[in-house]
Amino acid sequence: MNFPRLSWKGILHYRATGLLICLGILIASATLTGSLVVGDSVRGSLRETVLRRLGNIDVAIFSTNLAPVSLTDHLDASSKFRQSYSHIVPVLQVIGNAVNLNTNQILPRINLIGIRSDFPLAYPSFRAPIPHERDVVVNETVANVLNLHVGDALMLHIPSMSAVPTDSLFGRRSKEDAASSLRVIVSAILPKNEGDFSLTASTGSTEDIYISREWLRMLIGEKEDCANIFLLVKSASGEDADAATVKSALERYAQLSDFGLNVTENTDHRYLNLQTDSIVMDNKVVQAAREAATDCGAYSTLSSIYLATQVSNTQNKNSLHYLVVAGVGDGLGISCPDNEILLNSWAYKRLLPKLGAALNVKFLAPDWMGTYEPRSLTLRYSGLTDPTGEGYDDGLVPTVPGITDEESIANWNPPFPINLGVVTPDDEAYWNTYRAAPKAFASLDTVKAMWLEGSMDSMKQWVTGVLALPRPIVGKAAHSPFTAQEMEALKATFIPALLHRLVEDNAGLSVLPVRQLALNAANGSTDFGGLFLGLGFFLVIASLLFSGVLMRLSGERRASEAGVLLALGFSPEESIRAIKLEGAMLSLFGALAGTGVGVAYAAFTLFLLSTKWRGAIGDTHLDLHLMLSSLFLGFFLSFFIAFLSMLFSLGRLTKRPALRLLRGETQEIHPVKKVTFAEKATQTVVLALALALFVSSTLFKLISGAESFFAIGALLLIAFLNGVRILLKRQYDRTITGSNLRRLALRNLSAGLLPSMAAIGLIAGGVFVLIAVAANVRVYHQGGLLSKTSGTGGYSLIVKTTLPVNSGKTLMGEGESANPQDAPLLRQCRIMPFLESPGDDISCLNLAAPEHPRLLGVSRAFMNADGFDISANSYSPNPWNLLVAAPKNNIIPAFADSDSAEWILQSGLGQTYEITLPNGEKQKIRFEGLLKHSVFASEILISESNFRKLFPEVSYPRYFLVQTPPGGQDQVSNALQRDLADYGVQIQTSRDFLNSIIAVQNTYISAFLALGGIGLLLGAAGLIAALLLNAWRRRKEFAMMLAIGFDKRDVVTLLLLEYGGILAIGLLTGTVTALIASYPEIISSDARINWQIILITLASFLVAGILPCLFAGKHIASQNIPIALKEE
Amino acid sequence: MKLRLENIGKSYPLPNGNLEILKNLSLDANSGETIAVIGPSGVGKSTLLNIIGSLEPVSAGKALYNNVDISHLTERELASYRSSCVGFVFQDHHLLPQLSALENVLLPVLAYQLRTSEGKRESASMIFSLPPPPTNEEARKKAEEMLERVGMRDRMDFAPGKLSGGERQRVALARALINGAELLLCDEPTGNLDRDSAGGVISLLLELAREKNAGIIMVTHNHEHASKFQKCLKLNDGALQECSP
Repeated sequence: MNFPRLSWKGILHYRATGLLICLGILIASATLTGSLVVGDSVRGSLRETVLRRLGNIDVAIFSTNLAPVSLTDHLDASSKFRQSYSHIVPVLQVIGNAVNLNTNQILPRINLIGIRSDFPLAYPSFRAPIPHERDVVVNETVANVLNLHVGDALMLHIPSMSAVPTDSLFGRRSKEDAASSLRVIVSAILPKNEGDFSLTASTGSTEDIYISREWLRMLIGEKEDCANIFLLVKSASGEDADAATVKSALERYAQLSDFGLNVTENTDHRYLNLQTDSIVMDNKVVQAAREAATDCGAYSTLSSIYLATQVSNTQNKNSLHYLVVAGVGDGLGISCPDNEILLNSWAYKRLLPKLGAALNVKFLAPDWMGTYEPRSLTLRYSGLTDPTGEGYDDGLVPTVPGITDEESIANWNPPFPINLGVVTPDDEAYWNTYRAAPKAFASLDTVKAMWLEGSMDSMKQWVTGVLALPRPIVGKAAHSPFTAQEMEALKATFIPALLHRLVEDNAGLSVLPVRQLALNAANGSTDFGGLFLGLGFFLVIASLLFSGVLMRLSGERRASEAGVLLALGFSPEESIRAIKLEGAMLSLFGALAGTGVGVAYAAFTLFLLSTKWRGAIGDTHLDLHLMLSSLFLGFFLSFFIAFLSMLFSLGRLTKRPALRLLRGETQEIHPVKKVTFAEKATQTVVLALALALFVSSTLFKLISGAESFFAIGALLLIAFLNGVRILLKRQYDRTITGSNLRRLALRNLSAGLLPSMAAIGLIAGGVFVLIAVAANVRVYHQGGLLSKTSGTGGYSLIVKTTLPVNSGKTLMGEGESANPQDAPLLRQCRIMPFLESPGDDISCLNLAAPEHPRLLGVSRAFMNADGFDISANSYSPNPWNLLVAAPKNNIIPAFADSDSAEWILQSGLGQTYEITLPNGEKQKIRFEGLLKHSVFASEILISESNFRKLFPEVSYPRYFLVQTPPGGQDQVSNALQRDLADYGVQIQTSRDFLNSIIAVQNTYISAFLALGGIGLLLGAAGLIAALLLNAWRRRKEFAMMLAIGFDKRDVVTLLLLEYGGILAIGLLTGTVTALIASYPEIISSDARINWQIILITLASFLVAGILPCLFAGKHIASQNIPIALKEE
Repeated sequence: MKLRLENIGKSYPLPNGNLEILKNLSLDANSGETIAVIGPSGVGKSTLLNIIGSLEPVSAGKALYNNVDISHLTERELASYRSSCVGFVFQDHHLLPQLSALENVLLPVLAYQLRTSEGKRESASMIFSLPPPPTNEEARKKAEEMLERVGMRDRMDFAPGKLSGGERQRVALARALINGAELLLCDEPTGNLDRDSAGGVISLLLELAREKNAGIIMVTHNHEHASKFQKCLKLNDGALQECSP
């Protein structure tokens, strides 16, 4: 004989109870382990998706503009690079929209990927023939949405990728220039999982169309072979290679042309001029160039040029037309204060101004309505640029396609209107000799201001050149201030230094470890394991309680065994060891079985997430992923918790004297004390406090939200339960007379006050939580969303376009192909444009953690309109003004939707958050305001000026909020659909968007209610099992009642009154308190409480509890009275 | 074996004061001596047995077993005492329903082994000079012999649920004697049995005690059974008085 054998015998003998205990532990274990497996599966599925979509790609080089494909040859020159990376595949990727020419269905925001035959080296899943000419390969998502088959015709619309800023004088903005179209034929459709190429960890389907890179290049108007993404595949020996390897190779072997830059030497050996294909230089490139100059001990200054349409002498009326005005910084020997102008000798001879004469400079400034507004400024003539020479220096002027590359002014093809009638043969002669050499010089700030007149981007420096010199030129510029050798030496050091800076600062080319970043993001922002554990905690608690109670009752029932063992000479600890060992074995069996069932539970949950609860995960495909670590963790946690609860249940048994255990006395009998004044006073105070809070929150709205709910709910529960306790205690105040079974039942409940209150409290708590959660289901309907302070700000439509809308006229229904009837309607709307960055959705609709959160630039006009429900970090009459506060320590103020900030970004009001920009750079923001339940759930909001600083390449908006006239929402939507069709428009009502967000929450609530409902039923079953076992223990008492004249019906009635009473009181308490605490949510117009489900759950709970009482009562009432009275 | 109770007092606290069950009770019992204790219900007979068996502490006085004051022993020491020196036979047999008759008889052996195992010689076993425990084979052989002796050998693999009341009590008797207890404490062992079974159990009890030279203190209401004992004591007003059964 030994303890394990003793325990095993006990398990076999009491197998019925043991099975029930095991069952409870199994359910808890299954829920726990299953939740962990769900979390692993979501993460694993995201990871799998990410890896599949990445193919073999490890690192990618992103070009802000377009980089020549020769970059691959430059990198290949590095032996270390060749060792680390076996393939480098250039790809051209643009966002466009596609139209099925058979059905006219439009699919906006598709990824158009230009590839060549080397693409499968990076993305082996691509198994179709490489498209050539007008063939395209589409993925299954595109084919399904557009209802495409092989051979169908598509029209592709894509934006031109001009390097020249479209919001500048030289930017081409006409519809023909801004976008191109191409008719293509579908040559193949890639099945799911083969055609979903993506470099980010985006969840949901990707919409990819693959086209020949050559044709895509032609479509966007590029003459040279180019790409904007270079995909790098590690070699077998390149395990340790990372982004740093690539950066190092770029620094060493890349050329300036790879960055769209060139350095020319002024013919006078005066400076090296760094210029860009984009005409206007990116701020980061400017900074990199100036730092590079400092690195190699050189001097740098800036230059900018603009085209004046006319410069005229106000005194003698002489004028010149279409001349370049240049501005340069200090150190070049050309000094010009802000309100003055210098002329070269050619211009001077034509204008003949006296010193100090006022010269009127006219120029054009583009505006968003698509026109060019004439502007002018008056500058005082202060001298010649080069007193000793002619002063012609075309090295300052960058290449402007359509202008500087033309043989004559008459051949100019500018984007702005030009009057060739004013161009003289003299002008053409100058052009013939000196091309675009500036005829006038103003201060650098004056020329910059001319750029700024036509642009909304005040953050750009509007610099067209960075000049590097061996040292600053002092005084007036002399011819050839430096020697050829000095300039050569400068070039030899400046260019490598510049390349180093460009690569280091991610200026122009960014190197990103896409695989690593995507895998990090694939861990997800929502911990689904924890989430489902939270949703199922009810079930876990209920089942552990169920097992614990059964274990306790079993222990009590067998208490005499412990007493026997004590009497036989076992120590107190030994006397209970066998039962504890039984409990441990049952915990082990239950946990083990539960782990297995947990896998099935997880599989079923994933099935539900993919079907009924799809709202929570969108398009993401989920597979079951099993990780041994989670299975072990689930098993050990379940076993540990079950064992602990068993120990706790049995704990006090051994403290009883052996004799009492022998007699089966396991419970202390505590006499019930009378209700004291303090108890009554406390009850009154708690109730009064709860009432006061309720009135404050409901009528006066002094507190709201979660705080008021929890406070009121807790106080009400305490008050009600305490009230029940006092009621039960009062049962001892009067004698039970007559055949009053109700009084007897209440007295019996009072006798076991602690267990009775525990049961009531448990039921009340469970019901409270269920109803309170169910009260939060909401569906927005239109009425509540028109208010300015609602989550929509009064804007009823969200409009997104694929192509930037570079003309405000289009939005007014006055665009080139607008329907004339639309203009009057659209004029009644308020349309707010937003600049939109590329990036990830930060709402709960995106399962993956947002690697690069999407940002919106908010205009001043929008801010001034105010609106939305904002919690601000500091007081301001208009909280939106907090966005324009100057950044402190380079931390940009930002707003976000409160749920997105809290749950997805794991941040909050007043907290600093670091975002990663698409080029890999980090930027800190601080949430100065959070919007409640808003349409901005998917983006972070910053001011437009800060946005332009971060995304200088984004000139025009693609995101709009539209406030429509009452009743005109549908008409406005149709009008915008027509007028913006060429821009690839997507229109969604604010209501639908908010409902898609709230659907996620509603899904979680459904899951919680389902699991919680099961938990409640299980809790009811456990509770009733415990109570009925207790009733069984009292069968002698009932036998006695039968013996003295009560009949069977009385016994059944008594049991029903007692245990049914516990159920009913608990149910009523929980329901009433939940309804009161949730009153604000319930009366909300958006509430969509499924009362049916709640009633069914509660009714099932009641039935599940009452039926066993009936059964047990009949059984007890049918026992043989004498035997029962004598039975052991 | 020598048992001596000196001026034992036992009282229970009540809201209105203490309830004295035993007052200045003294008793001597030796090996082989059989004592029946009778008295009205509620007078404290079972309490007396429980005190001797260390199931209840005394409120006053001393209980000496072989000159060891058991009223001041630790829990472990008392467990040793109960595992080896005394054997209980209860009115409710208290056999474990999940064990067979043989296993129930072997149960005290396990307790004894725990008290006296090598390397864990506890002070208790040294207080009572306990010999080393038997091996499992020796224990089983002894248990079978005990069951043979009480006439239950052929049912040794039966669970208690399949035995009659008398048979269960016989098994309980075997269990009480398996570790060689020198003093048997029997609390109305025949209270739940019919007359014939009861008579058989009492006879068996006395035989076994004689064979083992064990003392018996038995609480009973049955004067006929009491008359078979060497001494009959009546417990009244908290004290023991000699009486005729």
